[in-house]
Amino acid sequence: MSYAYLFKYIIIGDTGVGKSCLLLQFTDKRFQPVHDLTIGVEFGARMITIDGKQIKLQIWDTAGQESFRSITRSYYRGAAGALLVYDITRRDTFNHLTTWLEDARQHSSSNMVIMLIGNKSDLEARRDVKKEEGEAFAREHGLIFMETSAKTAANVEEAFINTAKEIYQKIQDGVFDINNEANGIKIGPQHSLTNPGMSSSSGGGNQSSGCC
Amino acid sequence: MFSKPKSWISGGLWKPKSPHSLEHLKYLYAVLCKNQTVTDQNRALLVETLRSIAELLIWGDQNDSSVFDFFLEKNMLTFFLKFMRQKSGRYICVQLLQTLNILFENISNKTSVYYLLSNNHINSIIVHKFDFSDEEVMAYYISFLKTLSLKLNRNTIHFFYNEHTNDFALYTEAIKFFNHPESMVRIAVRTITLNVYKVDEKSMLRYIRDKTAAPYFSNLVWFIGNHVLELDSCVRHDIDHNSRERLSDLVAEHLDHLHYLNDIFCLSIEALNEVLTDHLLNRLLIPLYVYSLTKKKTSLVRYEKRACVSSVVSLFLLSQVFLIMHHAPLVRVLADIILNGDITVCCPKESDSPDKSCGSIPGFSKPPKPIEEALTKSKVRKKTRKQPPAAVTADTVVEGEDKVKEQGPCQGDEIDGVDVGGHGDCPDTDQTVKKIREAKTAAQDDSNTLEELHNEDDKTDEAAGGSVSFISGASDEEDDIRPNQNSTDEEKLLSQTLDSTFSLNDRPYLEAIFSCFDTMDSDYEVLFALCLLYALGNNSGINQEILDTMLMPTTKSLTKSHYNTILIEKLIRIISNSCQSYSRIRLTTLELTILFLKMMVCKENQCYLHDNHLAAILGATEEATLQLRNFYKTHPLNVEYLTMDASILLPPTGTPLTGIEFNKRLPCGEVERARRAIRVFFHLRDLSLTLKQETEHHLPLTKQEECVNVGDILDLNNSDLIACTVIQKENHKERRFLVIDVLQLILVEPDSKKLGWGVVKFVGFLQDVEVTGDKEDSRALHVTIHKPAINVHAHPLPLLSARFIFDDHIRCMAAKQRLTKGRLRARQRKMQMIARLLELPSYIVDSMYQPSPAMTTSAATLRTSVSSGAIPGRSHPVAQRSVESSHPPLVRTNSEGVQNAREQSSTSNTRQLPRHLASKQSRSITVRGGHPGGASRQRPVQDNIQRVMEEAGVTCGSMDANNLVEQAEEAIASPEAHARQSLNPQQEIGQTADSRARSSRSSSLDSNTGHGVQEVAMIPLEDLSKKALQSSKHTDSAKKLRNSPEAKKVRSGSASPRRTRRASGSASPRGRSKLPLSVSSLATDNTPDGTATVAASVSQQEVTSFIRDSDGEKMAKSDKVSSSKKRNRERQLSEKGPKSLTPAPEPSLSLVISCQDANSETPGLGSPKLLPPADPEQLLTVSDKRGGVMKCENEINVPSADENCQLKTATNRVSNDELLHSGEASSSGDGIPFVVSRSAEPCVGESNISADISKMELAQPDGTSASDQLNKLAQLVTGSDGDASLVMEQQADAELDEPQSDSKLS
Repeated sequence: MSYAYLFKYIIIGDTGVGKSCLLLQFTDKRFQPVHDLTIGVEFGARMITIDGKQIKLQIWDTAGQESFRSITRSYYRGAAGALLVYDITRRDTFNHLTTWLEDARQHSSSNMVIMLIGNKSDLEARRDVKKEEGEAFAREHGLIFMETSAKTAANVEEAFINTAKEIYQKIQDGVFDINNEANGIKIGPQHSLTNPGMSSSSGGGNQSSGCC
Repeated sequence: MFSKPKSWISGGLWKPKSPHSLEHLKYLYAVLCKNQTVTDQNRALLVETLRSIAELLIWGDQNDSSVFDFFLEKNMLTFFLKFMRQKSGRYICVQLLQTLNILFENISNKTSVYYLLSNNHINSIIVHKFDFSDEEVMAYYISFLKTLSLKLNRNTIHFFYNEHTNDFALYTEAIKFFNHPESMVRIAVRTITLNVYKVDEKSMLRYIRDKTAAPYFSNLVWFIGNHVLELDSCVRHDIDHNSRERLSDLVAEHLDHLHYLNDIFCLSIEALNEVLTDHLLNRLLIPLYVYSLTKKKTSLVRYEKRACVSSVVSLFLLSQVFLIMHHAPLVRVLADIILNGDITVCCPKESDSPDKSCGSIPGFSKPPKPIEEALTKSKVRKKTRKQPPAAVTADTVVEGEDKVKEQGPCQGDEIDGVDVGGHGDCPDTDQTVKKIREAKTAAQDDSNTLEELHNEDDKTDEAAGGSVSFISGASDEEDDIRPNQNSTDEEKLLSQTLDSTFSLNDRPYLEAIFSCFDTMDSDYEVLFALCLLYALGNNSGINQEILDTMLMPTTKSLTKSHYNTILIEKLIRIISNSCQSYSRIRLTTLELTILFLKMMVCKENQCYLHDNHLAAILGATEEATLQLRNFYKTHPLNVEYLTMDASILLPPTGTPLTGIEFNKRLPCGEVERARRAIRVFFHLRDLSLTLKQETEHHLPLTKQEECVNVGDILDLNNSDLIACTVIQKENHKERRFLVIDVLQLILVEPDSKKLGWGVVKFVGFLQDVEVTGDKEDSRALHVTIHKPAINVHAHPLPLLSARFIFDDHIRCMAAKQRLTKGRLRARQRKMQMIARLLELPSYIVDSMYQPSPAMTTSAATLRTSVSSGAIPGRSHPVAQRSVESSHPPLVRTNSEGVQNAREQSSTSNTRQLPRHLASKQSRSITVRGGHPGGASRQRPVQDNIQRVMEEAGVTCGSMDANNLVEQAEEAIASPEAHARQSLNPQQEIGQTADSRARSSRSSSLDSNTGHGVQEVAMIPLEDLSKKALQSSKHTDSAKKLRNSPEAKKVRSGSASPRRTRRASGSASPRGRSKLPLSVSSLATDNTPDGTATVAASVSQQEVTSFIRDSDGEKMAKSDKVSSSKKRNRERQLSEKGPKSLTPAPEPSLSLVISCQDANSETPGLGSPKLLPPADPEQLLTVSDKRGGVMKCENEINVPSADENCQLKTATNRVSNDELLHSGEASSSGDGIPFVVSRSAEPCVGESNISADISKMELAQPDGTSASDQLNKLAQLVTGSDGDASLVMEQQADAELDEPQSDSKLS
């Protein structure tokens, strides 16, 4: 179970857009999508491979905690990636994106990678938000965009993995300070040993000052 | 997988085909029964079985209740427990937890949930000691608890909280992880606690309060305190801004804590809040935060060992506290202590701290017990025990360890007798505690209490006295006010305004805050002091009475007639200080000061500021007005957000390399200084307006209602349209018509319902447009419309990035020109508006922006770009060189122009065209000069003429030509004066024309709106002779015009002023600008000439009629208009130009001088008719006319350009048609490309030039102070290189529009 990096994600969006289902769909492949079954979880973890590196994704659902300001803001800050989910069959969930995004931007580190997800793409017949609208919103706000279906598992993998790739790229670019766990990124046990050079260059000095 | 064989073997069971059926669950149950012991072999099987059970149960919950019944019936949860407890059970713990998570998360049937909870199995699972070192187990475990906590309500709570045994595993197990290193775990713990507190169940809450609150809160507070110390050390050791990341985490963490505590307070559980308040105040806020305020002054040796943070940090932290927490009992006490408390609040405890009297304190000494320990015994003692080890650490290691807890006494029961006995303050402390409990806020009580506490009067007095003198000393320099009541000055002031007196005596904390204002070499502390006071004033939990003790009115005050003069004067000093050019006051500080000031003295549109104070502020505003600014921040400062930014905790820095937002650091370099000045101005302007109860009219510069929006349906009849295919990145093709408006680029699609109307599909601001040609395809343009950054996070994705493919390269060029021009014009407009905002004398405005009108009117991009100060292009040395070379001809032109003018005057309009052309051919330069811009140009020309005439005392229009000659010569000699004069009308014209255009556009793009007043405005110059009368305001010019037999004359006359202007433009340090060249060759090449020619050929009536139809905003498409003849000529010209040009560079200095001369001259001449530049009315008229002229031009152009659009409305086209066609045909030749390439080049050089021009203007001796300031700006601009100036202006533009885009240095 060793990994090079651990990325923490959060999933945000209105209730009922299928966040926890997406989460389960991605983190536990054993739960095959079945039509007469809606099942979700609030936490999940899964290992993926990017660029030959084992990367563990930890996904935390923030559902049900919106009433406490302290909780939401903390969640945002602790994550390296966020999946912002709306339901393509419910326009109101799309309309609320701006609020969600503002919240996320406000509280998260500016490096947080945000992916916009239009969920329930299997319900084409009831579609209420055009794909183009989602794309436009994403383009406008600098997000990655994808339509998924937790029901059919369509694009679910891609959504999470693309987000991870983006984060990984940012690490490679030195945007993230990987030694700062508050970023939602953690270096794996074995990885940290091999990486002292990087760490010192990217802010180890600060840390040393911080701890004494 | 191998479950199958196994089941077959072991139980004779078969796996049902459907994974979702009761049978399957039965099968799974059998598997569990067969594998009751976890081994390496059956691990995988069990995991899969548990997983399947979860899935199946959820399916059953949603589809078949018998499934769940079976699960309960077989009591399958017990298997879970059994597995867990086995030694090797940990292998499947994760799966167990996931299954449980899924069950509680997904089961919707309430009864099912109750059944699941009923056997206490869940509590057993909760208390099970998992291997929490495994982060995955930890995560699943805490998620499980969180999931459960979300299910809590008054019914379910009893499954978790056992009243009889006082067990509440869910809660107590959770809070043991309150300081877990993993942030997500901590967050989950907080969530769980809040979810628990939220349940309104009395006995449970009682349990929480009695048994767990003290240990939890004391540990929590200690945890927070340690964070704060860490934060402080981070600030202290990070002079280089290296650890901002870490710092920001610490700050955010602190905020998280505060928000969490506030969330608890907000649940309004009195009993709980009382305990929390107590701990928070006495173990953290007072001992650590408040005490640290005075650290600087009272860091007497004896307090050395106390934990403390720097005063800046403590101000910052306290600000956060007051911004976030509004729990009255807490904030009132705290505020009271800060405002009125004296040193003894902390002192007595001080002495205790070494003893560790309060030793148990978590804040700075470790909590009595770690929380786990405390909770194991449900009996919790708040007591602080002396902990020798803790004391040791305190002494030896960190100063921070021990001291804090003087407050120990609060928990009277725990206090060691020794400690209490040692100090007389015990009773006092008790009182304080009581007071807290009662949420008493009366200052008297407090002070009385404190008085009693005085056991070290000497010390206190000494400290107070010392600090007072410190303050007065500092304030002596600027204001006479001294906090010391002995000061007569102060008394005087106070007596004026205050009922009660105010003194800082015995208020060490307040005094410490006030003293922050006295250091002007840095606003480091000032900012935080302001934050704190502001936060105090805005905290809803603090009652006004407390604030009144320091005479600080807020929005809560009924009246603000009394305020703290000392404070106000300090604020005013900050404000006036910030207006100094090298002030060390950051913008944020200024903003906050203003905010705070408003809070104190403004109420419902009423301002209670005393006159002398108001005057001081107005004075500062005046000063700021003189400093330019680029930036208008529309978003009000949010102090809470401000204090969320860790970067302000670091000492103010000047370098942008830190990535700190511009307004939170000091300006770096000249450009930023200019920007800063600009913003200061905005803030102060806003303040002044507020104080004077006036409303803002000029800002923001771009008004949304003036913009076209997507989806609008526009009447495009008679508008200039260019058909094109827009190809975006995804190869998505759309057929659109391109419309270029005053402000915006618009893409429309024909409206299917109304012929000639279009539906707006896209809009973008012209100022953000970037156009580049396509090397491969001459019909294509790459158009990028940058987007104003919405916020710092958003990637600056362009609003539009597409390839526009036009029908042919001519249209392509036309479009490119229009876009380029439109962009320049839009930016010009902005600059003009700013200038107006700054109340610059109009002549300065004009001179600065003269180019813009030219741009507007003439199609020659080159020319336009030259003049515009804000040109965004890059510098092209080539262009500059060519400019230089062109200079000499210019001179010649003037004289020739005179002749030309004469000739022209003698000819009739219609006939003039040919002649004109002829003369152009022979002396192309002259012609061009004489013919400059077509109608648009003529406005300024006209003015010049007028002026000239006046000077010469000539009243007859026919004589103009001569005058013009002279004028032209003079102009050459002293370009500035003329330029300025001629320019200002131009300027105004441009503005009005723009605004007019806007209005017309808003009504519809149709230019038919021109009636009545507008019509006047639309009168073309040619027509002025007839219609000028209508413009009553512009009497002088009107007269002259009328007198002049023909518009032609005017035009020819205009040549000279124009030249003049050119000359002044070329006077830029770089030597000759390209201007002359551009004027001559370009103007001719491009539209202006063509337009002019065409116009000339058209009868005046026709022109007039055109006016109506044309939209003033549309650019003339010169290329198409121009005749083939012209083209030839132009070509000749262009070829000729360079050769004939002999550089006669004039140093800019001499120009400046000359301009001064001119200036002095002007007044001498100064007949009242000298177009007083400031006369708005007159200007207006002029501009109106100008607009008319432009329209005329446009109209003429339109048909040519828009053949494909079939906009052939024109009555008058007939005569032009041939011309137009021929022009188009010829345009396919080299003429147009040539022009275009030229026009593309000169941008930067031009911008520099324009800057120079403005500088020159500024150099005017008679300039007002405003001009001085502008001068400074101009110097800034020119001082830096061209690019820098560009950057600045671009930034200015950007900021004007989008306040948010706090520029990174580009």
